[in-house]
Amino acid sequence: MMLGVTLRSMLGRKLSLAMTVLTLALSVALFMTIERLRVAVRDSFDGTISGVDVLVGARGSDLGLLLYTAFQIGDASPSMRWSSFLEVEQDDRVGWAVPISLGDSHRGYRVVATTSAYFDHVRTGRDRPLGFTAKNEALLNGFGVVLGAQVARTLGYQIGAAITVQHGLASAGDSSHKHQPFIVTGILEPTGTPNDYSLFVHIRAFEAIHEGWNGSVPSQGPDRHAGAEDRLAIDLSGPEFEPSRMTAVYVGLKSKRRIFQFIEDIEDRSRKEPLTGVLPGITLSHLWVLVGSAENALLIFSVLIVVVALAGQMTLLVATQDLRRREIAIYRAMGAQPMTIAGLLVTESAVIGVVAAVAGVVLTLLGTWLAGQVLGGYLKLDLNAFMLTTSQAQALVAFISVSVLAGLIPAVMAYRSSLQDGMRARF
Amino acid sequence: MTALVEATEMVFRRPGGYALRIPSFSISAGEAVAVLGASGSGKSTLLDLVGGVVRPTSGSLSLFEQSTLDLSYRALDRLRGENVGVIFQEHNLLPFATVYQNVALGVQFSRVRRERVIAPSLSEEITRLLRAMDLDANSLMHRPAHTLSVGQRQRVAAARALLGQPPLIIADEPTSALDEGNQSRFMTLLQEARRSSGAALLFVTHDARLIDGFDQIISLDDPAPTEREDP
Repeated sequence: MMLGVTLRSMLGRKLSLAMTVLTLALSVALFMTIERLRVAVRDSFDGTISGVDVLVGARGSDLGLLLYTAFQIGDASPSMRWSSFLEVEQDDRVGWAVPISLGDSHRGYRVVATTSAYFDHVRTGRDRPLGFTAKNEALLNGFGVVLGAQVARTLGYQIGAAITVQHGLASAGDSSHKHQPFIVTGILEPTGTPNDYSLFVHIRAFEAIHEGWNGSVPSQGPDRHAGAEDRLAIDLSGPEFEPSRMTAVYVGLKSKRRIFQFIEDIEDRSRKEPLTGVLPGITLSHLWVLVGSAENALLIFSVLIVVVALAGQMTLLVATQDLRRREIAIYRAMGAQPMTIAGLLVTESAVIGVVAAVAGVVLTLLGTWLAGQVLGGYLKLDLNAFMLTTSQAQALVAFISVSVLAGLIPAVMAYRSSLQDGMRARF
Repeated sequence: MTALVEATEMVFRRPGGYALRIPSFSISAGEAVAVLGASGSGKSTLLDLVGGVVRPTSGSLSLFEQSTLDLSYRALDRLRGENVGVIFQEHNLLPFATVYQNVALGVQFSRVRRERVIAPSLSEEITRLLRAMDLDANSLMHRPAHTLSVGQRQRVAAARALLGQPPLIIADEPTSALDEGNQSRFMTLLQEARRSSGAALLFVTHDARLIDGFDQIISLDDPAPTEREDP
């Protein structure tokens, strides 16, 4: 019954307590959302091209090449020759090589020009192959296009839909290739990586729509008036559709032991075209070192907000002590010992802490869902699936513990005033 | 007859403050004792002493046959919880709690007192005591205390003090906020209820009109208590 009385006592001060709980819950939600974003960013980056051993591109910055090619962030990297791709592909040490060419978009989503081998070799998450929620046999044949999950969901495309791509990343208006539609042949399962926000076309089709492109003059291209099925059957194997330049190559080696020798050879300055070889995992670890201090600063900032909110809780409990002396005097008259009175205050703090923690988790769910809706496409992150991680659960337990500790000072005050007041509250 | 309270030449000195001399007195089981005194005469301090919240600086005070000097404050708290029902001047009830919760608070901190509840259940005992104090238990039981009139609140407080049959009821000017008609009604109900439970009453007041029917009167303005003879 004492818990019932404590809860009723708290309800008697519901407005001030609700404000305190809300402040605490918001601080918890802020902390957890930041942590969720941090984890989502790392998961997304680490899981985007987990099956790729080496990323090869034109000579330049390792990080710039990786960010632009795999994550579609930053300025465009210099292009490399198609002949260099063929050399890499034919290297004895190479198990597979997938060409990547970037530059066009569809309604704000990037178009990745590649080959069907992309879906066979590129892995996401922890070595998970790319799966399809829907596909037909054509995939990247002819002018087929495979959509990332988020693209299909947001734009409502189904298999068989005809879409056109445009130069650059303009989200609307520019229909540079409107006479060269692609036919949707597959929709990828969600991956929580930039793949979800990409469209995949064959690199030869990509070359074909740019055939004859010269500045602002639209492409003529092959069979541009063909119907949907015909467009998938268009033969693009001819030498005229072989691209001359491309952005990068994803490489899988037969043996990981020869990876450093392979990179050394790739970067050999005596080559016809010196290239850059990037180990995605190591380059990403460099990125995390770079952004780590910013992450820590953000984390410290959010922890400080939680601390300030806890100080607010303590202030409220201390401020209401005087108003509660009558209540405490009644408990004392009934035989409650000062330690029992202090225990009631600590229980109250624990209730506040638990309610705030639960409300914080609910707000985090709401916040990440909203962030997923509003920012998901922009950040290319999957924020909808919220799982309470071990570190977040530990942080919640720590928060509730500190919340209980914050009740100790008012509890000690109540203990002392109950000794002084005895059975009567003196006003 | 067993003395529930036995005070001999008690002096209570506040640190750096005044010394209060309290005349020797004893309270037997079932006895009604009134304490008369003007404001500042030490009535409340006497209640603190008998309630075991403070201990006398000199002299002796025995509560329920145990010397307060031999007991820790923790033991005194327990002794109070088990044996003393308290009615305050006002603000007796937790305004946010229901009448039931307020009355049940009387046995919340003492297992011994909880075990002394007479009726088959706590709820039935509370109903019985509320009726004894002329309250409509059915309609009031689950009402928040802040919705009651002052007179109802004092009677609910009396019911709480009687719950668990404590041998001693301490009342600290419980009628001071009541009008004359309600004062007399409250005193009659309280006396009848505590007589039927066999509890002694230590009733503090500054109003000499209320001391009719008391077995003993302690005047804090006089050096010695006045014994009353039964009519």
